[in-house]
Amino acid sequence: MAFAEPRMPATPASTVAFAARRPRRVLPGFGLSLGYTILYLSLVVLIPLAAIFLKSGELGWERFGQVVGTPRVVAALELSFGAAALAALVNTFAGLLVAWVLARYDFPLRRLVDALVDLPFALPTAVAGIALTALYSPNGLLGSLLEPLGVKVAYTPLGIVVALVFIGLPFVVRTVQPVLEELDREVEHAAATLGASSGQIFVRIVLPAVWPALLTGFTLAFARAIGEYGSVIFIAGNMPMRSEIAPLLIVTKLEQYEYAAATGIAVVMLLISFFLLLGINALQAWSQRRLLGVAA
Amino acid sequence: MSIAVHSINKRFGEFVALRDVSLEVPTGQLVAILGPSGCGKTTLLRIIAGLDSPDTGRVFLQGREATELPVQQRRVGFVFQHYALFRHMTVFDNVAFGLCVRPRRERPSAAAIRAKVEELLALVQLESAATRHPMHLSGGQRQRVALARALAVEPQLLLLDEPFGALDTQVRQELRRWLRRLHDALHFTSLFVTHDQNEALEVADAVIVMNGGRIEQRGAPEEVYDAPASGFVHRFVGSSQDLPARRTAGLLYVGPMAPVPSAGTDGEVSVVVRPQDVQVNRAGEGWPGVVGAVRVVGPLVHMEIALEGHNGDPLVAEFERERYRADPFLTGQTVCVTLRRYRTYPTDPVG
Repeated sequence: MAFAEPRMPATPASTVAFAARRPRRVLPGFGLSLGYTILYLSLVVLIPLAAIFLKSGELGWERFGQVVGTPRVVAALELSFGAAALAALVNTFAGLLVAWVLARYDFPLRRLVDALVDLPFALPTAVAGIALTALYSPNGLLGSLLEPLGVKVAYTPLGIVVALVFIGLPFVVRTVQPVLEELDREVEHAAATLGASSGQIFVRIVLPAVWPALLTGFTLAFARAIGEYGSVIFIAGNMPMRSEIAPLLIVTKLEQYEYAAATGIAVVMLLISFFLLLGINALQAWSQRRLLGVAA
Repeated sequence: MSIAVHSINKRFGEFVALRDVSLEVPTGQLVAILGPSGCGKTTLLRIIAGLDSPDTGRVFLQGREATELPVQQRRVGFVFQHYALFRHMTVFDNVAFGLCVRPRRERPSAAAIRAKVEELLALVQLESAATRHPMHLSGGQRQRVALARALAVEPQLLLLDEPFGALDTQVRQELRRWLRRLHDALHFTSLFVTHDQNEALEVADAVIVMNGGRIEQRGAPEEVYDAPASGFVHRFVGSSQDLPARRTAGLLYVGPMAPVPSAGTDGEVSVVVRPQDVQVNRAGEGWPGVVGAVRVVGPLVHMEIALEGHNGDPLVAEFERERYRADPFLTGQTVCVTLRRYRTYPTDPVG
């Protein structure tokens, strides 16, 4: 007959001994890939950096202090880090805006604008520097308009910031845009049904979600700007104590065959950058954890 | 809050989501919109909430025109299928959100907000989860947080878009009964969208069946089940199967069964029958067939019968398990089938 209660086979007594076994990784090759990573990082990053420390070691503590303590070097370092931070900050706002427009709206030529964002990545920085200088010099297209207002851009620290803004923008846009595109619109709709205005939705819902990406974008733009050389030297005017950036000073020292002094300045830049980036990364990790509620 | 919707049309590009949809929901009712995916039910709900705007037609809430009213001012609670919780906020902050974003002069004091949120968390039985993040909650818990969050602003109207669609069967049943009790206790109007007929039949005061952007039928759950207005409703609500038939001169011929009087135009018709209405006899009158697979489904038994001369799927007859066990059939046995109850619809291959 067709009707039957389901029958289970009698369960055999378990005879399998559970031996302590190393958990298997899903993807093999951890040892190999880690080894390769360390080798690669050593060759490309760590060994050259160590060489800088070694070379600057030739100076000895006293000479090192004299080299990096001169007012000209201190002014250059302040300018480099200050202008980089300012430019990254400007880019954080401008980049968020550009990313928002590209992620949220559909308009004619959107793809073209999207492609334009990457241009500063590809353009030789010297070309960018020359173009910006031509634009902003007192008789340039924009410079001649700003001159009567008493605003000087070319050959001033302001010009440096302008150049750094130019080269840093894509970093913010390209880190924030995908996050904005991935955001769940329903969450914003939910906030709207609860009575939140567009402004409140942006501040309370969207911003916390893109905050870690925004911070990453800021960090990348900042890091890139600290080391930028090519575009800046054309527009800066390079006056010692006023518009001379630290990387240029290093090149100057090299040209005067003061290799140890050049690496001395480099070491200071390297250390400041390292700790700044470490700090921002820690902040970023913290905000990411907070966003996902892991810390709670 | 009562809802009235007048001749709403909505299209997305080429796709027509809603065709001339009108409906009314009186204050205090819990109404289910039931339909397959793509039938326009979610679009209708979003239009009522103000998250989408209709191409033509008007929406009235509590008798007042709300077609142009922004979402924020409609004060409807909306619950999403995938919860849409604010994942960077704790459960407490999620629930408090609606109160915290109010303009300063309307906003309750911090203490009042705290009291309100605690009351709501007690209502959804999640007091202990107040400081946790949504990520650490189960699906059922998340949806309860979403409900508490929607209720915090004291909406007169609660709209739920497949609220239990992403949950396990067990949790789903529990939650929908709980929703019914909540609805009865708090006296708001609820409209919820579902593709699960059991959900609609079990919880709702009235069921609206939608198909292809149109409302096919509106009625009490038993009405929709017992007297479907169309072949689509019959097939979508409850399980049913089609048999080809022919009506000639007021007589209905279903296979070799004896003709029965039937009103309607002559020609091909579809006979739609539910499995529990299939009568299986060992011999005698009816449509002969051979017993195929027999399956036990909980308290029921489903038996397939291959009808003689019928090329479609085998007919399924449903029995209560106790009764079947007392008098079982054997696979391969020849039987005769008659229909206890059925409905006829014009033949419509699409359904």
